Amino acid sequence: MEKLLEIKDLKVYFELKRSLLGKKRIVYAVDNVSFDVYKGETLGIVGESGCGKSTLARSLVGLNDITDGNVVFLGKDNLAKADSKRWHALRQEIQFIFQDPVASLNPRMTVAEIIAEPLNVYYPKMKDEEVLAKVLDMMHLVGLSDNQINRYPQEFSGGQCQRIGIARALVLNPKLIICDESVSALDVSIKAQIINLLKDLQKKLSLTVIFISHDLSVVKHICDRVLVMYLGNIMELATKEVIYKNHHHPYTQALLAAVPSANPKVEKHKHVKPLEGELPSPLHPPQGCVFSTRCPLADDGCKSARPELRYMDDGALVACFKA
Amino acid sequence: MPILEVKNLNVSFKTIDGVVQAVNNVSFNVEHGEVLGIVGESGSGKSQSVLAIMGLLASNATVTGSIKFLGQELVGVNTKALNKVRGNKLSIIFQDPMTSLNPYLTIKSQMTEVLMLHKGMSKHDAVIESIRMLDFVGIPEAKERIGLYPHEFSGGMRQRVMIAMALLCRPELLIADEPTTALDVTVQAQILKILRDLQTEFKMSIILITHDMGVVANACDRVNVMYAGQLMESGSLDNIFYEPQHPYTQALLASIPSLEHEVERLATIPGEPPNLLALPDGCVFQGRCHKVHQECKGGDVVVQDFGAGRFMKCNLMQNLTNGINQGITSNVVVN
Repeated sequence: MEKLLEIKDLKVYFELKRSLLGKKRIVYAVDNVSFDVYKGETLGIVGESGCGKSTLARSLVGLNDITDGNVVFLGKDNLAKADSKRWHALRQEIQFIFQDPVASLNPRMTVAEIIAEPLNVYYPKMKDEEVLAKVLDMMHLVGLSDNQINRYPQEFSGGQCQRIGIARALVLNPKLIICDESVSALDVSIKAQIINLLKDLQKKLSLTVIFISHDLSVVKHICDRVLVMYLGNIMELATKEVIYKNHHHPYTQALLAAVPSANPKVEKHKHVKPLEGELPSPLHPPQGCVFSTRCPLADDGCKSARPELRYMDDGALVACFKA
Repeated sequence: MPILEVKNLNVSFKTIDGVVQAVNNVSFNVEHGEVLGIVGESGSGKSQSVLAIMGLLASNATVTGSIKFLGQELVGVNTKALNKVRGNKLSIIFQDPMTSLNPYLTIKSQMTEVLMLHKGMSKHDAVIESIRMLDFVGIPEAKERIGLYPHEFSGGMRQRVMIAMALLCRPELLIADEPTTALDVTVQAQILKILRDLQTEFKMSIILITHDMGVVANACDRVNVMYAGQLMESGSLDNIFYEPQHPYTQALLASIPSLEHEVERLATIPGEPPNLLALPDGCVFQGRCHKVHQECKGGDVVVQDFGAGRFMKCNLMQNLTNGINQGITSNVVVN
């Protein structure tokens, strides 16, 4: 399979204000992460809040500075070294769909203006009729009707606003779409509509999608491969089948066990102890394996050395001494 | 006798755009020692109905109907009488623990205040009792950490503090309004476990409000399904999950992606909830219902009582014998 993105040793660190004693304080948001994204796949990134999944996504569109490492797009462009001019060109290819559908739309612009804006930026000479035709195309594609074209975002519900956001992201024909918790703010019945829409569009336009979510059921429904993150590190990366049925990492196990099932019989017969404690501070990540402070299998070895990602027989990449 | 009896509860808000009918003729009971789940999407009135119980509605709200808690009427009584009940026999925890705790006061002073006020305890006793409660909800080193401010705790720990505070006076009824929505799944599992432990330990009743059917399946005994301010269906956990009668409940359950089995496309409910400023005549779900017919579009909707606390508000006639579902299949429109 052809690689769309090759991410190698990616580090995104944030420096905080110095403490009272003048010590340097660094948040290790994404710490030495390497993986590939293949053309036409939907890659899910899951993990608890603070695991670095959003930081990772934002650094792929230049919304965060990359501290170190390489991100190679289509075999040639290194996003980590791109200047603002290069980013301008790259953003035609890489688009982002945000979590809060209402806040990500300008309240003073009509639907037409919002969807047409990327076209105006990248194709300033495009004729008005052509722009309008494209805007209408996009609106039909995401399930909005013609008569809504001159309305403002506040006249729409959350689900409809997310459709506008999707139309805006797709109007330039990008190769890669990054969805950062794009359905999390929506109600159950609306969420299902948007998930179906994203799935259809992915197929129809053969898009590559990076889908970030804390909701493991949604990720299972929409993704081909899943990357599990914890405290800035990759714990496991495998196909959906492996992650949900034969996962190797104890964190993947704990995460899946914690999701309450909408089936009372399953819930009643579930006797797993919830994972204890909480995510350690990314200011002071544990010495050894980052998950060792909460891992039921951790021993002294796990607490002193950090496991590297290694391949399992089924092709899964796992960072765990016990797997 | 039920611990809480809600009868014909209506909550409306006067706004510049008109009157918003947030809760519409809702009646339900909470029995001793049970966990009642209230599910629904945003705007379904689930939060407003419990805020009405607590007397915490915004000032532009109008409440009619009756709310009887331990036999005492709560609608229309003055704040002084309400304050005797609230925080004492009746407690609430909210979704966002950060905004429900006072950031300027230590956990200690916020907790002891409750006990000194309602139970007349001395400061010394109140501190001991508060530490005991923090221990119970799983806060490590409670003795030292009681002196901290809310911002010094993580989200999960703050929610534990809220629960501990709500439990100080051993309430008969605890209302939990989306208590785990802001938390990560692993922490959510911890909090749900605490709620279950509490319920067995203190034999109290809980109203658990959530939009997450998984949380309901995990924690509740009975379920109320709300939509656009109305109670659409009510029944036991098994009734609602395995034999849902109302087209809305059926569609809601079908639209949840599941970890257990896979579907190519999720079933969806077409359209969106109605505007609460201009509710349609007849059934509020008519615009999105795949079984809608002429009589749903005007007049009163039939409330069908199947006995044993199981009922639904729908014109679609169901014959239920011994709880066995006859004649309906959950064929939901996939669009």
